[in-house]
Amino acid sequence: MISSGSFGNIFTIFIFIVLVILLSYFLALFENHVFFGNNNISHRILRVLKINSEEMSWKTYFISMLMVSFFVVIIAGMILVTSLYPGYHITPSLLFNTLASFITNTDLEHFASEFTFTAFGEAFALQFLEWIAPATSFAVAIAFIRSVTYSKIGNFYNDMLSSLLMIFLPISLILSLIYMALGVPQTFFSTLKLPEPIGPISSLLPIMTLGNNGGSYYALGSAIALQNPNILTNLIQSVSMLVFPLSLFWLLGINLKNKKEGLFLLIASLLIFLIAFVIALYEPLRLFPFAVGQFNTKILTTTSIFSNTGLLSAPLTGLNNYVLAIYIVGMAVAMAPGSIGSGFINVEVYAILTVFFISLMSGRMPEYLNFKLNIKEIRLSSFAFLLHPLLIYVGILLALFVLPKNLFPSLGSGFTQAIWEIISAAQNNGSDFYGVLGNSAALNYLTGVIMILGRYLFLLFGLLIANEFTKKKKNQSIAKIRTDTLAFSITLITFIFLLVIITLLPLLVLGPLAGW
Amino acid sequence: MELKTVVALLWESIRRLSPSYLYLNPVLFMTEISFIIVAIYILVTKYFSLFYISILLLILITVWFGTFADSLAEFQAKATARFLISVTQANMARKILDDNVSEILIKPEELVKDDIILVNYGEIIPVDGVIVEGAAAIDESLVSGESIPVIKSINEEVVAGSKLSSDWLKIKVVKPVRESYVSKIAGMIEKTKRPKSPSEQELNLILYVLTAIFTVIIIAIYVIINALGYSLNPAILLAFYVCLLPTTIGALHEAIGISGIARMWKSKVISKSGRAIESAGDVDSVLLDKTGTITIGKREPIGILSFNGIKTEEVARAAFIASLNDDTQEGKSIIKFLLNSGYVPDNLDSIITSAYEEFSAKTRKSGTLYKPLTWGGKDVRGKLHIIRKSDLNGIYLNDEIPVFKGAPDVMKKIFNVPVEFDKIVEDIAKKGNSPLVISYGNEVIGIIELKDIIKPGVKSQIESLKKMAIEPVMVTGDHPLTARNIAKEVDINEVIAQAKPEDKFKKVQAEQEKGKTIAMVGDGTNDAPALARANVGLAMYQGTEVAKEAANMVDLESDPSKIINVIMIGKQILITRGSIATFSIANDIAKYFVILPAMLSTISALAYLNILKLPPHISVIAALIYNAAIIPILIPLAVKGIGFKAASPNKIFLKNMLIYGFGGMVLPFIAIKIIGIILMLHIIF
Repeated sequence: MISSGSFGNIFTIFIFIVLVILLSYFLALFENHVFFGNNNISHRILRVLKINSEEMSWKTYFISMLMVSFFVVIIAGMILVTSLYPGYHITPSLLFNTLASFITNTDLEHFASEFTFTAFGEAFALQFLEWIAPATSFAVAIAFIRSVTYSKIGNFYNDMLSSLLMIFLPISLILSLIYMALGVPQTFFSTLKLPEPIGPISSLLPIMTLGNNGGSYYALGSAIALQNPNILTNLIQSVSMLVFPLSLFWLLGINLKNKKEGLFLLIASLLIFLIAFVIALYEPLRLFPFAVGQFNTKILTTTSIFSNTGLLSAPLTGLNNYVLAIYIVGMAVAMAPGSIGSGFINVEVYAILTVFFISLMSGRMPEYLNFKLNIKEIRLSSFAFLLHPLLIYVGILLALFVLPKNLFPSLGSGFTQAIWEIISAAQNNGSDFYGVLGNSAALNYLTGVIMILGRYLFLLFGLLIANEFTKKKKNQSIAKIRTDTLAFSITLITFIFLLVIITLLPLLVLGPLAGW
Repeated sequence: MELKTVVALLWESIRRLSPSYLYLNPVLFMTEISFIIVAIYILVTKYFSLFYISILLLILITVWFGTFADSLAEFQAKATARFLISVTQANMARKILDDNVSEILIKPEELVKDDIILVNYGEIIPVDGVIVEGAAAIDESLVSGESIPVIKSINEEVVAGSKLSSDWLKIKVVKPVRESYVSKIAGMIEKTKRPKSPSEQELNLILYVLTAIFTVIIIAIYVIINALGYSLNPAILLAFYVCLLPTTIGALHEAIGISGIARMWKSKVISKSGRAIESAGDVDSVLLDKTGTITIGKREPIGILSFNGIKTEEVARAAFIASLNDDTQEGKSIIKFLLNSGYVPDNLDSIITSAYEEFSAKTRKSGTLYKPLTWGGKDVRGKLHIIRKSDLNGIYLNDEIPVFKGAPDVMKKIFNVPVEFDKIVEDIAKKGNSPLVISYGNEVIGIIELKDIIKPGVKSQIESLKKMAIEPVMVTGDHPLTARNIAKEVDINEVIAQAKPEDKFKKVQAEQEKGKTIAMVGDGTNDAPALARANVGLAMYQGTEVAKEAANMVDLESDPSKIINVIMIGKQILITRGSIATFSIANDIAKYFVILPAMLSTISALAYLNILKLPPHISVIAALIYNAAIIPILIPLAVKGIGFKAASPNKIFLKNMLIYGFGGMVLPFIAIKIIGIILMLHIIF
């Protein structure tokens, strides 16, 4: 709904886009220094700790990632069960779901965080996981970039430590202070105060958004005015969610010595986001926090859904059906820009499939980033593409059997809520309609498993594709399809549209589109 | 086509409906499974209405169109193969039977050790062997590069690929030829045996993935709709499934591959693998031999230059003497040129009776040891004589005057040259022409300027290559300056001049190091390593067996410029495969919007999705008709290949993306609407 304030709105969105593009570029320069420069701080730390800091194979890289994740999950789990508010208890299924949810960057919450865990649990278990989760997928994306530029995978510990210490930590610290200055609460000694408890929010907010976690202190996320008090905090949160996923495209371009190679992927990603955003603008939100207003809420919500952060800034029930349909597409494409690392790999998977078709159409064998593609990459990319639709459809079929009676879907809105739950889990988005209502043992296990498969199998495919690239020789041919042009961006969008529509349309038709 | 062929073709296409044959094609297989399920559904429910029978038949027809496309492509390819085999069998070996008199024609690869064969004048020795009878001059130039025929007789060894320049030989086979490329022809189109090319395998994989997704989707839809409390007609659901499956590309996939190979054959090029054909489309640079590819291999004289104030007529006379006995094309063209430019020969009988020294790779000159019978009208036979100062340098003790023509570097070493010699030679080379130096006695007296004749049409072919961003590289034994000039004339930037055979190999290797795909042409044994190494090695049929064995393609017409056709055909196969696949997938959008609302027509909340405003049953049938009919409509395109003009890959892709990608999204909406309207006018379901 473009109202009288439309000029201001256009200005806001303009500033937002410019900020996102510029900041992601500067961030990429910094990341380039950290990962591909002469930085060896993390390397030294690893040596002191006597941890393997050598070049890894994809297998070691993946296993290290699994081991770190598992280790962190065990510790966080032990902290969580000991930091419940008195009188609360947590079922094994909920614990499993919560841990799976937070380590996979999903942050689907079948509980009301602020009423369940003490500030200690929030800070040392949930927030701890929110630091590790983005660092793992970020590392895989870095490994991917390293494989196509320098023909190696790298060292997982080194990549993770570098991203945590050199990138997430300093940026989050600065942002925390800014949030505090802007009026976001920060306390460590909170107790359960109704109706709105407070806790370590300023310190959580940066990593929650930068890392596309979305695991908020409040069940309603940034719809709670304490977490998002004004337009400025709204803008910072929105920008935070986009800069990391987008910076990876720049980082790819910088290391390929051809920034356009990344720029036009970024453009494809941002264009899808903008088209969706503009379409979503035309329908007003029914429920929204008045603190920041209709328009800004929509920026934050769209950003959060399309970056698979899943941080809510308005209750999903306040969204109109057709906006819901667009948001479901946004979750499912998972590349506009998608969450940190995963979104990047998703774009690469789509790019490889697109390049396959358009190369043939131009009379050439497929070639991407100067590498000849053969059946191995095509196979891995097809599987990576196939993974999420499979999880979603199988997940929904299973959900029909396990959903509690009160949640059993009906055509339209009920079914929308069900598919939202499953797609959100599969794509590690984390937003949901159910909230505490979803806390049933079967649904906890089902979504937990979907989250883990959707995350780790996907990253595994990403690493396997990267591994194939490390074995290849760069090609200096000039007779190839260029992937650093606007034409490629538009073709990529077209193919993504085709692939996503043909897999998703039946669900949309039975869900949000049936209630239109 | 004859009636008999048509019947055979139809029978073959029906025979291929058998699941045991179809299981290799995921799309058609699942379509057939759908047919079986719908048939069972109709039988069980006894819904023998026009609507259900139409669905059933349309699904079956869809599969049948697919097997028909397959069979048609294979029939056509087989006809071409038979023709090719008949061409290659012209070169049969004559096997001498035990009676040592009668002979039979036999394919060279059927010869076994110790068979005796007869080879006549002008024929090529098909196998390695030992001479058991006869003696003959043998031209081994294709094998060794040595162009002087050698005389061989009993007990001497001969090499396959050499040509008899005289007489006849009986040869005992020592090493039989291995099964040759010709015998592989048939295997390349047998569906089950046919080795799949890389892009075929990749596309097949994507078809498997799409089939898997759609299978999961329709199962899920069925369960979900029932769980939501609505009912779904399984026949319509399967109609929907068949429409979603990429049946167009699934049906034509095989035909595109087979007809691609057949198109290559039609241009008389036998390729030994599908991979080589695809590599041809993917070529980054191509090594072109100057002679035969860029120039017609003949050099024509265009002028005479004389040194030191010697009259041009004197040079012309010397050139005439040196060339009259020369039977090569070059010798003949010099004589023709001299006569045309007004030179009147004298002393013809003297020249003809003089000894002639032929050109050889060693001496690199040819000429006449001129022994004048008369001089100035007097009989000079057997006498010493003095020749005028202007055309001689002294007295010859015998009466033979060496009159030669040859390459500048050789002539310079043997004869006296004037001071300005080097400069004039270079000037000619700079113009892109070749100097043919003429000597008389001990002196170099002038030069005939020869020009390479560019093959007609080569320039535009090179232009096409460059438009497709393929880098042509010219390879020649010529002087660098000459080479560069010819290259300039046809717009080639990269030249390997004074090339030795190993230079080709080095170039192929160097380009492949850079990850490029290389094509080259060769005919000699020397070329074999490079032919084997190149991604596309095109050997000439008249070349040696070794070269043909090493290469992955053989041109039966032995025309080196065919390499450009080969590249175009390679590209065309890929373009056809990619475009029809994209078209097929793009079609799904429209089919979704047509059948999904029809399938869910019992749900009123979804009525607005029916954007074509066709009644449900009409929608389903119209979509199925479109889905089936598009296959035969596209068969000509699949079999003949999608036409394209030489352009950069980016331009070709943009054009095809517009036509087959975006066109593929829009066309079915229009087509189905039209089919729907026609159906509504005539049929009531």
